Amino acid sequence: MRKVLTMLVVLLLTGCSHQVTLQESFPQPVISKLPATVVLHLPEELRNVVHKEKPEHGGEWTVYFGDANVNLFSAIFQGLIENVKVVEKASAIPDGAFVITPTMKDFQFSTPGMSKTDFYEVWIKYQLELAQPKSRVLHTWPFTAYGREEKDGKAASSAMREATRRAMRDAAAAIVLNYPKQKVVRKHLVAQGETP
Amino acid sequence: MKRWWLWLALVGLGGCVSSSVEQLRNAPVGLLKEGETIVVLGRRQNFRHQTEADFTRCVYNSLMRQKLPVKPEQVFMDEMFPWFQPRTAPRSAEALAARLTEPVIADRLQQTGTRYIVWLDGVTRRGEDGGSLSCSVGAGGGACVGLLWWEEDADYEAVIWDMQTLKSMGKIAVEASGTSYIPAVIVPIPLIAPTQSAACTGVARQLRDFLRGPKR
Repeated sequence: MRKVLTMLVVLLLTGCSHQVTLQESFPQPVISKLPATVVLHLPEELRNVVHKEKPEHGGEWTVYFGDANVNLFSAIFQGLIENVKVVEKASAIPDGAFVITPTMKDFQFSTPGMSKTDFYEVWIKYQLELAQPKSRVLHTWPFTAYGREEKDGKAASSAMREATRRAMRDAAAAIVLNYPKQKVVRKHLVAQGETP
Repeated sequence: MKRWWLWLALVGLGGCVSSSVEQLRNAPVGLLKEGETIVVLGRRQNFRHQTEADFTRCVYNSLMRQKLPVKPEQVFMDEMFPWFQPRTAPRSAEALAARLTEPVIADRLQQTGTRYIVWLDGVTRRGEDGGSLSCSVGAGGGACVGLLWWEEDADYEAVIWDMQTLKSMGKIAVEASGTSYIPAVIVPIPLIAPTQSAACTGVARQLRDFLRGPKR
């Protein structure tokens, strides 16, 4: 009996894993669209990202992004630029097109157990690459988005999901606010709509 | 017998909250007209101290109970996406006016019919604490003995912006402080001071008076 109890305690302490599944959709940004034409390339590595991590404190975390990244970047760029063609495969990119390729470079999180605060926090590092034609990179723009959620009696996985959702919405805010201001982006995309 | 008096005194004192509310008006009361909606937003700039989501929810629910036309925070954030996210939210009425020079944003605001934004800013902090409480479990059962106490201070401000005139219409400031106790003789009895809830009630009542005029 004692053995069973010990095993149960060990299982509770070490085997507690958390799974977060994102099924997010995002609204299109409210902004005047840039009168430009781009191809938005959403590569395989951005689709169905799965982040697995076992921090020093607590159980293992698995975050399944599913279509969340695709939904995020499709909504942002379709709201930001007038003509956007979304492609999955590089072979589908037309010759001579301006191509924006987002990638997720890093995902980090912190739990109340790790930070000794009341918050679940998430940092996501994304990168936007602008190329024309597809092989000639004109500009790369890495940026970090942040989201947090109070533990507030919630289940750990739902608090982490909310923190991740907020980080992704913060990524949208960062792009809308800062991407069109990038010098090279202005030169190549904003200039498309300007009359000579 | 003496001990009973002590516990009675604790019950009487414990969980008490004192609060004060101040209102600064730049416009007459009873602002709200038929068909106009309000949105209550919590300040969530990425600092360590940000308005707790449950405080914002509490003010929203109080205004709903008072039959004020309040729009849920998330609906407004989606309608205006991404301009009221922590990274992009304007910090002053002037900054909002500057943002609304963008016609698409101004149009969206008009289409969605949000007339007033109530910005909630502040936090409830835990102050001093003390006491000790110990519990033990034996073959015949368990028991706790001791006393724990802690103080909480709530400090919030609600600023009302008119989205039509793009001006601040007034400000409500509320301060509340309370001390909670957990006395224990065999069974611990938590006497929790509803500090944040008192601040929420104070803000919601003043907002109602400000937007709709005092209750008769």
